[in-house]
Amino acid sequence: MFNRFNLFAILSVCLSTSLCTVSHADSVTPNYQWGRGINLLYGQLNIGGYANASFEKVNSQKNSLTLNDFSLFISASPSDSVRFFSEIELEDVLTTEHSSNFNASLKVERLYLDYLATDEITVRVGKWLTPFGRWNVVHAAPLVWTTTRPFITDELFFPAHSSGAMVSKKFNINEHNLDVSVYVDDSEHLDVRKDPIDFENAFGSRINMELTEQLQVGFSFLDFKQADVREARNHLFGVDFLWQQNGYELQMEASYRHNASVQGDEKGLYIQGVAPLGEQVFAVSRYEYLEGAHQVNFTRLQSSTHAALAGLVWRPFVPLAIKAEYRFGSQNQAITPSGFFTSVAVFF
Amino acid sequence: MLVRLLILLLLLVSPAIADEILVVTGLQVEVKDMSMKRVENIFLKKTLVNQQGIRWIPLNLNPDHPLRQAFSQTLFKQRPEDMEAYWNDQYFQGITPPYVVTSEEAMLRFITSTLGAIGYILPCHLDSRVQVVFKVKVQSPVEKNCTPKTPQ
Repeated sequence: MFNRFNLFAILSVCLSTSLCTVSHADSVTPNYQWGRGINLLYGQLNIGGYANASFEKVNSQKNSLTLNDFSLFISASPSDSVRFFSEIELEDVLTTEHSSNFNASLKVERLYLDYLATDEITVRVGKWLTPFGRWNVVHAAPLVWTTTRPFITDELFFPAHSSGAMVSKKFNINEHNLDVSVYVDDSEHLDVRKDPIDFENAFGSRINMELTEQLQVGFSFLDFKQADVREARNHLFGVDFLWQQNGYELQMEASYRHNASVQGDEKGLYIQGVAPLGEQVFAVSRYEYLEGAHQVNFTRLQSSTHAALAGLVWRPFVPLAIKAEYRFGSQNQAITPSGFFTSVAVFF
Repeated sequence: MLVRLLILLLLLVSPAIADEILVVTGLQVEVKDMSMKRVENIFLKKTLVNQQGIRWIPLNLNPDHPLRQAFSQTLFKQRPEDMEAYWNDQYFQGITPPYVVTSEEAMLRFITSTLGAIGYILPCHLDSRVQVVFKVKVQSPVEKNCTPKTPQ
């Protein structure tokens, strides 16, 4: 089994040695494009990232202003069959809520090597975003439509990061992509900066099918154990879809977590719609439902929660999103409290 | 009146004539089983290497180029400018959009000098430097963009 030092040693050695071997002598010169980063080394190295700042006025809480994310991406293609990607993030580094701690804010969000074994099979080793549902793998603030995150995609429902190995295969069925991924996690031994709510270990799979040009459906499964918040093993099942056409969008995720012990089960869903209003302004609304035994701030809470959200998003330029939304609900105060949320997010 | 009716009838019964765009690579690249979906996956960077393990380097023309417009509408059912949200998603995964070249001749030169490069041209601009790996039928009349070859 890997240990944590082996994993990071392998990643750094692969990167440092293979970056020296430039295999394509193409004519691409270094260039920076807003929202697409800077390309270096004949396009084999890209450095970019994103930032996100938010203001929250939540019922019965102090107003807060936070620099939520300052993320740096480094991606490299040292050889034809190897890709490296890392995302280092400063999370909540500046906030009016509490005093800042630079060391605690510094996170390794992702750090992995992809080996492109064939044109259809990829083997990934490292740390990545847990591929459960849709939101978690594209959760960057400039990409998502709301400042707040649906509860069933939150780290309190399942850990956002996995460390280990993953194999993905792409099938072509009647001219439609079917992507299948299977992965194992051993965060307890591999992740040097593991959070208490992260996996101890896990294995999972994800299937995504393009039914039409506009519609994708997905199925996810996770078997996991968290050391500090849920001692027994959990089984998580998910189904989701995304429909997009002419600027309109409808997205849904539903999840069911089964736990045989006294920690109990929970289930939930969200459904979110987006409609263009013109001039790059979009209306967004979302409904969330959650029922069962939830982990909130390391305590167990049994409830049946409904929450809804209505908001506007302005995307004046491709890399920039300015959002404002109001969330409300019933029995939602402990889990998804009502309030006003606004944010500015930008890729750079 | 009769002539007009005859013309209308002829238009209705004659098959719609579609223009073609050729997907081309360098001569060294061995390509098997290319399909519309494979071309789409290469240009969306969902497929990153070919069956020989050589990295694909897809090329695009400028977004307002008629050939790029027709290629994008046929392959992705979207205009190039509407693809930006997709490339935002990919940027978060460390994948950037295809390189953009300014003309079909620049595309041919890039493909000739770079292993794994793949692009698209009009049939009238095809020459011996590249091989055709797929033909995309488009509804837009793109062949009017043919430029006369200059003697070399």
